This record gives sequence, structure tokens and C-alpha cells, in this order.
Amino acid sequence: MKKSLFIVLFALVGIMLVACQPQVVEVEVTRVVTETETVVEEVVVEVEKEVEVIKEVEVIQEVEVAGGARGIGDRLTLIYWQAPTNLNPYQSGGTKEIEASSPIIEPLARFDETGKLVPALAAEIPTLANGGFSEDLTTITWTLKEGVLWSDGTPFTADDVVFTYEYCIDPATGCGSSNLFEAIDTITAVDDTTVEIIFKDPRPYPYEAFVAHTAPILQRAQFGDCVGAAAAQCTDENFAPIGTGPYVVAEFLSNDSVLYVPNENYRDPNKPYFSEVFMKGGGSAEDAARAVLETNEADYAWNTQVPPEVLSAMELAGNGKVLNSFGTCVERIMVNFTDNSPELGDDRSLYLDGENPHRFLQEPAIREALSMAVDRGTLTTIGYGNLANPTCNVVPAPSAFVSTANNSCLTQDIEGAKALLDEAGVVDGDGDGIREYNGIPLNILYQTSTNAVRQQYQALIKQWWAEIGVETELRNIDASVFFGGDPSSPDTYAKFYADVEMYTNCASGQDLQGYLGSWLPGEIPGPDNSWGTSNVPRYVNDEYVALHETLTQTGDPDERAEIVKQLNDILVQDGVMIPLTHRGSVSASGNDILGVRINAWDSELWNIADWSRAEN
Amino acid sequence: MVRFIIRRLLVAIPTLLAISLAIFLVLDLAPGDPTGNLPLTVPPEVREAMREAMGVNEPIMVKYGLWLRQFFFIEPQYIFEDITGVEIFDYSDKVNNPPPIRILSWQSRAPVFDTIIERLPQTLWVLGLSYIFGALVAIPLGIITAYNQYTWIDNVGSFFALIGYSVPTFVLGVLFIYVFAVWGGWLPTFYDPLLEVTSWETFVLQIKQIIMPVTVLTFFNAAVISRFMRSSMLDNLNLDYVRTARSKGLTEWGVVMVHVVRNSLIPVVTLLALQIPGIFGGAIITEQIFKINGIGQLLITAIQNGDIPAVQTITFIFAILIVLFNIVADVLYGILDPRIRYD
Amino acid sequence: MAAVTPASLSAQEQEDLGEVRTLWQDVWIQFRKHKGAMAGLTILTLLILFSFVGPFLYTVDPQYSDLTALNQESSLDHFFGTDAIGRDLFAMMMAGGRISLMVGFTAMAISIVFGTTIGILAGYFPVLDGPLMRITDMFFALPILPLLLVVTLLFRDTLRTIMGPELGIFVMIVTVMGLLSWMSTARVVRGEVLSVKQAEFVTAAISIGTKRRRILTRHIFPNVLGPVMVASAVGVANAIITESALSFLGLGFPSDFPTWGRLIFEGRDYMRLAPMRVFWPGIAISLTVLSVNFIGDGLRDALDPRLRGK
Repeated sequence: MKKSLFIVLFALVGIMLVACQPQVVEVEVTRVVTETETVVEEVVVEVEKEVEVIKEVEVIQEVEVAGGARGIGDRLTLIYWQAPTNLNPYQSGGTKEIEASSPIIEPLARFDETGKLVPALAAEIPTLANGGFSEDLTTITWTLKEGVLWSDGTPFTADDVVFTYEYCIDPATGCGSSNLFEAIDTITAVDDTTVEIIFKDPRPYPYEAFVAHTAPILQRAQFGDCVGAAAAQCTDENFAPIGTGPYVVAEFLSNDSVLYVPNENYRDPNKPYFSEVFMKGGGSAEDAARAVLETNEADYAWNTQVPPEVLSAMELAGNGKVLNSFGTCVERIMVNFTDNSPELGDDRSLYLDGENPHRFLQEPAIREALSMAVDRGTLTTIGYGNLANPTCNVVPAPSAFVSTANNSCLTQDIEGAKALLDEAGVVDGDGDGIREYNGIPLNILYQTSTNAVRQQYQALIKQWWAEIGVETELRNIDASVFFGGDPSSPDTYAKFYADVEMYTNCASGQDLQGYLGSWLPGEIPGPDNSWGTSNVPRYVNDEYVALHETLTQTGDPDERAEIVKQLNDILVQDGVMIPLTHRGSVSASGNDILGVRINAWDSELWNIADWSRAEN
Repeated sequence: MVRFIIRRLLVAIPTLLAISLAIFLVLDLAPGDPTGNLPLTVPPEVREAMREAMGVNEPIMVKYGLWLRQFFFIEPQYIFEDITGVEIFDYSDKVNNPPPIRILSWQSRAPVFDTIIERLPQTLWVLGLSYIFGALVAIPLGIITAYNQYTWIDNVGSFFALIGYSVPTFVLGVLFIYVFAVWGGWLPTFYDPLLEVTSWETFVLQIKQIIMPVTVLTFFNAAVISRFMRSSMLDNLNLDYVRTARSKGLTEWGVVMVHVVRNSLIPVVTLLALQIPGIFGGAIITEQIFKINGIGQLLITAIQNGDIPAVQTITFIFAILIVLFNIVADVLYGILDPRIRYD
Repeated sequence: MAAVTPASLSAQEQEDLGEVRTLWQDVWIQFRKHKGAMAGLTILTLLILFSFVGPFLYTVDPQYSDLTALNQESSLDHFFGTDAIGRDLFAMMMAGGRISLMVGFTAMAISIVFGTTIGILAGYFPVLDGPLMRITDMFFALPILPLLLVVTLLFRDTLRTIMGPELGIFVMIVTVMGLLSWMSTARVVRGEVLSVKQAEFVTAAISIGTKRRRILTRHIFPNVLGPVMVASAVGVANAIITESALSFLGLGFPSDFPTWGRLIFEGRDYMRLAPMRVFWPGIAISLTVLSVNFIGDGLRDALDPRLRGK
């Protein structure tokens, strides 16, 4: 009786659902698959050879004759456990929204998985060599691809590029990438396919605006009424931007799922392969990894940062593989150069023109000893397995910019650290097991955000530092508070009411000049800038300032690389920060998904147009 | 009766206003930051500009006043527009003459109400089904255990009810996922909200993805309700009218089913109404475990991302539900129990 | 008076005498007959011993990470194995039990003290009844779990800074839970006080000029103790479930507090590799709640005069 009621109820549910939903027409495509499979693979090969783009477009046009391969595939399921809240990356600034929008809207140029710039909507990359970038480093001229259409069928023009700038630079829009456009003085659409940008100052590295997933082009026709304060009213637009990318939004449920279908006006008539792409959120990183690797429910899972032994056990199920790729992200310990004693009240951790030095971390030997006592290899293996590498550098990539001068730190040296401290006169005078510097015991308050791996790091480092006679108190703060910008909160990383703190930071794209500029004296956080700047260690070094100034004047790539290495060495050898682990992006992909090239420099879905499913 | 309802509703208004202010003050004191979860590559100045655009920095009373106006005046008009299709606001010139701003989530910059309405069906399906099934299992169980008090039937039944009551839903949920989805591989671990039931296959899929959360919640609801039912039955079984009924020569079945069960159901039905807001709390955990895009999950993500307008609105809706169902319970009691009269 | 039946007379006598000695003895005799309640009491005692006395016998530091023994299975060295950074799970279970049980009992104590006080005041002083019950109604309308989630997540770091890592978070969770759950106790107590106030022995006490405070402490308080005890059993169970649910959502105690809920939250990733990491804390929570609920059932039966003597 109960059972039958159960069935009747479910049947009722079913009938109601059926009544509400329109019928979906299914298209039979099984026979075409064999033909197109080869086509898709050809194109992938083509892209990997990195032939010139104009040629590639020609190749693609030839393929078109061979016959419509668009949308012949089945459904591609992506798990983005942190689900996107909207699909306009400028309205969020968050990684998940940027990722979710990248199959829809595109920038002028992207980074490929090796970090090399490749054209997207641009016909080619403007450089000093091809004259697209002026010798005085102030003017860059982008030439756009001919004949690109928006997904609504209207032509994509230089005016849309100009509009994107206007949209984002308006402060009332609240644009999450406005910093990428700030250097621009004027921007003009010379003709339909030419955009000329003049910078306020010489910019040796001009590839920020309209480059990579953080700065895609919006359509003026759609977003024209959404500039400034009106941006808040544009929910429909933010939830379904019109783009030039391979897919368009069919359905979007904020904070949960996105259903994409192929863009009928995509410039490559044979792409994309899948008839629909379903992006689902919710759960944890572990749930996401399991759905791909173990239960085979999904084809691709983003950001599957779970304990390494768990991940490798899942991989044994044989349904998929774990992918990773390295950008510039380094987990590091920042050292506070200013005194953070609570007795100082409002002057805690303020630079005060150098009048507030740290009680003992001003001593270089102590900073160096703290670094030597850490076993980066063990930390990295426990926290990330083989999906990350121990590092001694702040700039761990791209390879041309990586210094090799600091690699000795990869070996833990407890005895060396002890000797160093003894030599510097930092000894345990009162026999309590803790060393003193000028009578001040080395008690370190070590804070970080709440996160299982970070707490593992903390626990281990605390033990090692105890071995060299340094006592550590651990503190962890919820990430949204720690990384938050509330000037009234004492717990933000910028306030730095601790002796050392640990977090991961990365360069924005490949702008190492801007990244290394974080540690200039002008960037020291304090009340005058609401703790809104990036020199968190409160580091001041004239040599560093001068060298960074040279970098901003230098255009030659090789010279630039050399200067970046030197800046990196100063930061590391002066103990401003203790780099620990070079972290990569970790994702999981099903075995039968072809064309995935995980990319730490751009969106992981940057080449989703090329993805396809292998035949069984 | 009508006067009673109107009076209760009028009394509820100041209570709700006080609650909304309390929630607002608590949230305002909180140190969270809606841009706190952005990647560190987004510079602080940009974050500040974003917060400015969201209206985070407005004084508390301004924010509260605006929220009240939005919640009680603007949102109902938009909902009215949505239902009837009649346009109240002028949409012709969005730039110079924009329609009034709705309550916008800081995460998605979209109206909170749209997201809630989008998510409500999932929550209602899971909660509704589990509540109905729970009652269907629990009421017979309560009757049987109470009638056979202190026999082995009662012991076994009460024991299971107590277990259902004591094993937390998240422990049971995690267990279910591992047994049925991971180890057995029979059921999906992710919920697909876009699944359209158009055929027998999709219907089966829908059942497959909803069965675990419904079962877990049914288990809990059944345990709670059967305990109510049992004690309510016990209260009635010892009363004089039962003895009278028996002495009149009614069959045992007639006595129990007609007299005792009917009378015992009166407090249980009111309790069922009172419990409804409470089970929304249970939805928070179940939705989180089974990745269902319901209201509870929305609340959790909103809390994690410092999305104050969403948290405020959802919590306040919960408060309204509680007040409303309290009134419903009282009214039900008045209707079902002839001894109680509201004047 | 003429209508008084012999049965109720004897009950009256019993209660009069019970005030001196037999009421609680009688309850205890009834309670002991309830098999479930006795089993609950035994299990709860064992769990309390495990959590509070256990650490003196099993002296491994729950915070110590042994880098040579990561992710170990159960063994003689580590009864429940170790976690990903080599912390002993058996020791963590004991430490977690301490926190979970303390949270449960403290939150219950706060809510009972609060609820009883308000209930007695509202029931005894008609002036206070209206306003106090209005406040109770308002608190009833608060959505408890959502508010708890919000408050704990948003304030735990502030409190940690003020009161130190251990105390701050504990105080906050306990206070918030206590302050959001006193309402039903207050209602029950108020009802009980109202009915006791009408009872003949109170009228008699007033008529011979007994002081108000004495009436409250000597006559009213003992009579409301029964329902309060039942309410406290439910309170402990609810507080333990709520705390572990918060921790399970990653919103309660931070990661260095191995409460049972937190252990499940962290063990979930390892469910496939080491299911016992979720199993043990799951069992512990369920057993605690089950035993407390059984005790509550037993108390209710024992305190119900209609069931007495059956």
C-alpha cells in the first residue's frame, strides 16, 4: 500500500514535469562521427604546429567544404564545483566566472598552455618586430580577424573593442578587470578591423588589455545600456552575453549550472564538436574529481585540488587522468619587516618611515635560518604529491625568467640554520629552548587562511622551527576574511598583525614587471591607502627600486629576463619571503576527451572549440 | 476565526520588522568581504571600486532602509509584473530613466529573488516528498508502537525511530553516497537541475537523482513524526472516552482507528505544520551533500562569499515562513479541535 | 473536596512526602526500569570516560604530527590510524569528544538556565508574562540553523582574536546555540509554573504568609525540575548534532579543532581509502545522541505520574 502510493506520487511528479517542459527534438548523428573525427584531429595537429593563424583559418575554410562537423558530438559534462554566479567576468572578477565565460566571449589574444601569446580575435600579435607595437613603447595597433560574427549574426568590429574599454573603465561599472585598462590613454577604432591604443606612459609589456581570459570583448549592441551604474540592472545581459566564441548560453542557473550549445555563427564551421556542454557546480573538489575519475559521471573537472594520495587512488579506477599545468603561483611565507606587537596599538605593523622595525626579523641571519630549516620537498609531497614542485623562487615561470641562483634551499639544513644563528649571536641564553635576539625570545606568530593543506604546512613548519630554537604560535583565519579588504578587520593579510604569514600569489598573466612592482616602497599598506596595496612585507630596498626602474625602461626581452631574475634573487636572498611550493592548476579529464590542453596562463577552457570525444 | 487570523498577522508585522533589523545588524557587524574570494591578482583598488559599485560602503541605516523598500515595495511589483505580464515600470530608456533597482546579490549581481524562485522548486520537491513519505511511514508506526506499548513491537519500532532521530542526516547522507553511488555505482552523485522529464528514461533518471536525498530526509522526518504520534496516542489511549467507547461494545479496531487515532492526529497535524520551517534547516545540509541547487545551498554559498543581501533576504524569508506556519498551526488546531475557539 | 477519589488522594500524599525524600528516589526506581535509558546512561558514561579520562591513559598528543607515519591504517601504535599529516586519530577522537560533549552540555546549560529563568519569571509574575512571552515568540520566529551558520562563520575569527583560539570559538558556539534554543524550555516551565501556582499547596503557603522567594525556591522550582530535565536531555542531543553539522559544513570549529563533526568533514576525502576515518566519529556522534535521547525518554517516563506504578 505504501509502495504503491510511492509509485503513484512519483508518477504524478513525472506527469507534471512532462506537462511543463517542451519536447526536445533529438538529432541522429551517429553516422557522421567517423568522418569528422579525423577532421577534428587534423585541426588539433594544425594548432599544435602553431602555423600562422591566417593559414590556419584557410585550412579551416577548406574543411568546411568537407561537411558540417559542428555539434555532431554528444553532451560534454564539466564539473566546476565552485559554480559561476554570472557569465560576465567583468562583473565578478572571480576565477570561476572567468572560466565559465571563456567558451562564450573571447579576447583579442590568448596565452597557450606554454605561456606563448596566440591570436584569438586578432589576426596577429602586434610586436616590435612586425611594427604593430611602436618603438617608443607607447602605441599598439591590433588588427582584427576579417569576417568574425557575433553569435547573433552581426559583425564583430573594432568598435566593440573600444566599447569594452569604455565599459570597464567607468568606475561605476565596478569592473573586476579595470586595472588591465588603466594604462590606456586613448583608444580608437581606426577602421572596422583596426584598433589603436596609446598608453599614458611607455609600456614595455603591452599585452594586458584585451588579452587572455580576464579581458574578453563584449558586444556594444548588447551592453551599450549597461555602462556605469546601469550595469547593475543588466542581469539578462550578464547571464547570457553574446560572444564570438564556440558556444552560446542555452540555460544558466546562477551558482549551479550552465548549458551551452554551439554558436551557429562561430568562425570555424566545423567546430565545436559537442552538441551541448553542461557545466555543473556544487560539492567539493573531491566530489568533482570522483565524478570524472571514478564514477565516470562527468568528462572534465576543474580545480581538483585534493590530497594527492586520494587523487592517485581515484586515478587507478582508469576512467580518466589528472592533468596539471604551472603558472607563476607560489605558496610562500611573507616576513613582516615591521613590529606587530599588540602594545603598539594602531601603529602595529605600520612602516612609519622605517621607525618601526620588527623586534627580531630585521636580523638577516634569522630570516635566512627560518628558510633553511624548512624541508620544501616534504611539504610539497605531503600537500600536493607530484602535482606541485618545491621552489626557492618568487618567479618560478616562464622558464626564461627563472633564476637558478637559490636552488641550494631545496635541501633542508637544520644544522646549518643553527650554526648561522649561533654565529649571529642569536642563542638560547636562559635555557628554555628558545633563542633570544638582544634579549627578545624568538616567538613567531604564524598566520594563514583556513585550508587543510595550509594547516598541514603550518604544523610541519612549526616543528622544524622548534628544532632550531624558534617558538611558533599558529593562527588560521577564514579565507574570506583573511583575503578580504575590510580596513576595519584586524585579520586581513594586508594588515599583517603577525610575524609571518603564508599564502599563494601569482603574477597576473605574464606581467612580471607589475608583479615584481608589488614590493616597491610606494606599495606599503597603511591607513592612508586603507591597507589596499601589495607590499605586504613592508620591504624597502633602494637597490631593488633602482633595478625595477630599469626594468620599466627596457624593451629587449633577453635583458628583461635578466633583470627579472636579479629582482627575484634580491627578494629571496634578502629573506623578504620564503618561497615554498610552485603550485599548478590541477584538473581531471576523462580518457576519451581529446584536445584538452590544460592551461595555467589562460582559461582551462581556452581551446574548448577543439575538444572532442574519442570513439569507443 | 477570520478576526483571529487578522489579529495574528498584524501582531506578526512588528515581530518580523524587529527580526529583520536584528539580522541586518548582525550581518553588518560581520567582518566578511564580498571581494575576499577573488584571486589575489585583482588589485585592492579594483576591489574597492567593486565594493563601491555594490553599495557595500553605504551607512547601515541607508542600506537597511533601501532593503526594506526593495523587499516590501519593489520586489512585490516585479513579481506582479512577472506573473501578470503587466508592465508597471518603464523599460524604454534604461540609461536615463532606469526602473527601480531590485535586491541584488553581491556574488552574481543579479536579483536575489530570481535566484530564489529558480531554486525553490528543487527544495520543495525534496522536502515535500520526504515530508509526505515521512508522514506516511510514521503515522502507522506511531499507532502500532503506541497500541502495543512496552511489547517487543514497541521496543523495535521505538528503537528504529530513535536511531533515525539520532543519526545525523549528514552521516547518513555521506554513507548513502558511498554505498549507492561510489561503491555500487547505481546512482549519480551530482544533481542535474536541467534534466527535463520527457520520457520514461528521463523519468527514471529523475528518480535516480532525487531518491537519495529524499530517503535520507524521509528517514529523519519519519523518526520525528512517529515519536509525536506515539506519545499523542499514549495520551489518548488512557482517557475516559476510550473506556466509554469500549464499554459501548465497539470493536477494538473501531475504537482505535475511529476515536483514538482521530483525536491523536489533532496535535500531530499542528506539530507537522510547526515543523515545516524546521525542515528547511535540514534542507541546508542535504542539498549541500547531494549538490542540489536549492535554497539551502544558496544560503551556504552566500554565507561563504560574504553576499550579505542574499543572506539577509533568505534568512528573512525563513523567518516569515516560521511566523506564517505558526499561525497556520494555531488555525489548524482551532479547526480540528472543537474545544478551542478563537474570538 | 468530596469528589477526591482514593487514588488521587494517595498520589497527593505521595507527592507531599516526596518533597522530603521519595520523589527523586521514586523517579530513579522508575528510571532504572527503563532498559533503553539505562543502556543510554551506560554508553554516555563510557563516552565521557573515553573523552575525559582516556587521555590520561592514552597519552599521545592529538596535535603532534608524526611525519614518519602518514595515513596509517589501524595498528597497535595508532588504534584508529593516522591522518594525512600523521596525527593520531584515536587521540583526536578523544580530544574531539571532549569538545563535542562540552559543547553539548554547556550549550544545554546556558539554554536551560535562560529558559527556566524566563519561564519562572513569566509564569509567576503576571506583569512580566506579556512582554517575556512576546520576546519568546520573536526568538521562536528566528531561523536557527541559518542564523547559527551566519553568526559562527562571520564572527569566529573576531572572537578568536579577542579570547584566544580555544576559548573564543568555544564560547561563541556555545553561547549562540544556548541563546537560540531556550524558548521551548521557557514555554514549558511557564506552563508548569502557571499550573503549580494554582495548586492547593501553594495557595496554602501564601495564605500562611510564606515569602515570595521561599515559594519560588521551595515550591515552584522543584516542581518544574522534571520537565526541565527532559528538556535538557533533548537540548544536549540537539546541541551535539548542531555543532557537528556546523563543523561538517566547514563552518563550525576551524580545522585545528578535531571535533567529531570536523573529523567527518576532513575524513570525507579519504572515504574510499580509509572509511573508518568517517565511520568512527559518525558512530560516536550517533551513539552520544542516541544515548542522551534514551535518557531523556527514560526521564520522561519516570517523571510522568500517569505511568508510575505500571
